[in-house]
Amino acid sequence: MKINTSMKRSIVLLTFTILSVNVMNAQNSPYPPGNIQLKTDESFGKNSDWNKLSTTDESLYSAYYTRPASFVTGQDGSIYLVNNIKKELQLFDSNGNFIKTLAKITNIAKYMTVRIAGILDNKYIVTENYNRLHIFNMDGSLFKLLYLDYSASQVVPLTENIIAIYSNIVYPGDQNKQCVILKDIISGKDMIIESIIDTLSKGSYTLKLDKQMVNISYPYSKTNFILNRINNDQLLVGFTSDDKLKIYSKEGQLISTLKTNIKALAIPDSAKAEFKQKIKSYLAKIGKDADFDKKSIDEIILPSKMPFFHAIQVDDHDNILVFLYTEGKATHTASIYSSFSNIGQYIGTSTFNCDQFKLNVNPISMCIHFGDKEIQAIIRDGEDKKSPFKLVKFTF
Amino acid sequence: MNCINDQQLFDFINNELPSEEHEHLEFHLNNCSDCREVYNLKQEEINWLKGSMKDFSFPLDEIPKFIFPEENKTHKNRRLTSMIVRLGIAATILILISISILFLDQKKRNNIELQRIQIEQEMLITDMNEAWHERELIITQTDPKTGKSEVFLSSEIGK
Repeated sequence: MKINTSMKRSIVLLTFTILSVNVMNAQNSPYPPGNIQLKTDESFGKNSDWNKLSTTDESLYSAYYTRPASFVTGQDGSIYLVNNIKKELQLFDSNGNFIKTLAKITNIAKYMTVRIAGILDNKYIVTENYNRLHIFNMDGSLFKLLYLDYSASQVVPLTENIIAIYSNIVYPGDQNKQCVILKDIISGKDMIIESIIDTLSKGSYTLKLDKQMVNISYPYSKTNFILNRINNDQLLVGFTSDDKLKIYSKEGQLISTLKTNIKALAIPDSAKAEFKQKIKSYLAKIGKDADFDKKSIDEIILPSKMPFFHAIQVDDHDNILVFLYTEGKATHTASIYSSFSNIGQYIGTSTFNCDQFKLNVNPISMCIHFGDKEIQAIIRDGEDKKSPFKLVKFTF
Repeated sequence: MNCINDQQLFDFINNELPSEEHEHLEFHLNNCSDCREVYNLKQEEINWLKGSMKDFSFPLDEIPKFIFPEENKTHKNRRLTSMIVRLGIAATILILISISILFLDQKKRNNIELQRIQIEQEMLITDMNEAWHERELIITQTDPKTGKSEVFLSSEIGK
């Protein structure tokens, strides 16, 4: 069979195109499949006195200490950190060195964690605390204090004064409405774009003691929304019991739905038995006979499968990292998806490994810089409950 | 002139006649002995009657007043006041109970909402995959009086 010149040219062009696409894909994917070993940058945050920032005040070694700080990175690389122990908004340079306290965060609900939500339009820093949003100017002066009519579990600033809020609203009769709301911080207008009703007591066991009420919650039977900003001004919405991700415009219009095809991890009976045993051990610790309420404990219905994922990160190049529940221990497995073309092109599945510290993959505890191949994160510098928190930088 | 009849005499004694007629009758009485005798008799009767009336009359301040039984009125008023007070107390108690129920219900809902948020927050700051491997549970301890609650992972107990 003879191949003419035109056919030869077509074959060469096709081969070249396929090779080019493969090379481009390889360049666009900084997350190689398999293990990604994170290396700690020892010079990062070297001049910050982390012990002093974490305080040595014994009275603060309470719940605050388990949620010490959250941070976001500004456009110039500066780090804006909310110190939950000291209730301060603090500024660090791009090398993790403490510069100054920008503001004291006052008017906050007691016993609640104050966290940073993000930066809005490069003009405002938004912090959240139960139903209160502090909106600071970039210099730390307070621009606005917003009291919401509902509580906020997560807040994500988008653009043009619009923020997204994930809220839980409790209704009589053990009902809880989970909503995703878009809010204009200037006009105060709200718009619900996603909502779901669930049962509050699902996966919970409540015990009335003499002086207190104890609720034991099995968190893996709870479903929740996870919000992230994507494509500059759009909202990525994940619901942990659904393998699809949705992207909304800031006006509340559904732009696209990404099917992830993630398979939920099955919960073996042995794990269920371990959880029940854990409840009994806890009851024994607080002085209750482990078998005094055996029937009620046995009636706690644990689901047959885990949620599809437990966290979502969007890196600075709008790649979506969906963090999965895994069978193996001590790994942080992320299914990585790309959001460009809005159809969720699958890139690969990787595992972050960090030998030195326990890495928390939640967005306010970790920030991924795609281009620089680095991760900034807040970690606890030690196993002790009183260990100070610390900002660290990893490269990969 | 004819003699004075009884009616005329009666009107004369009571000064109820026109002056001209009165003078005319007066002139007749002065000149007629029969009529004067009748007049004198009538005058005596009237005087006796007036005297008798005076004996039966009471001075104004001595006329007994009809007084409503004071005790009965007070009792009725007291009953009315008591009923109003009781109704008021009942209404206040009812309002207070309603407010308390609403307040307690709201407080309970706030506490539940707070608990739910704290669990959500714990899940947001915890590496849930690691928590799953450690078979972690989330424990919430709430003081029902103050509503203060603390949330922690089961592994943190006793640390």
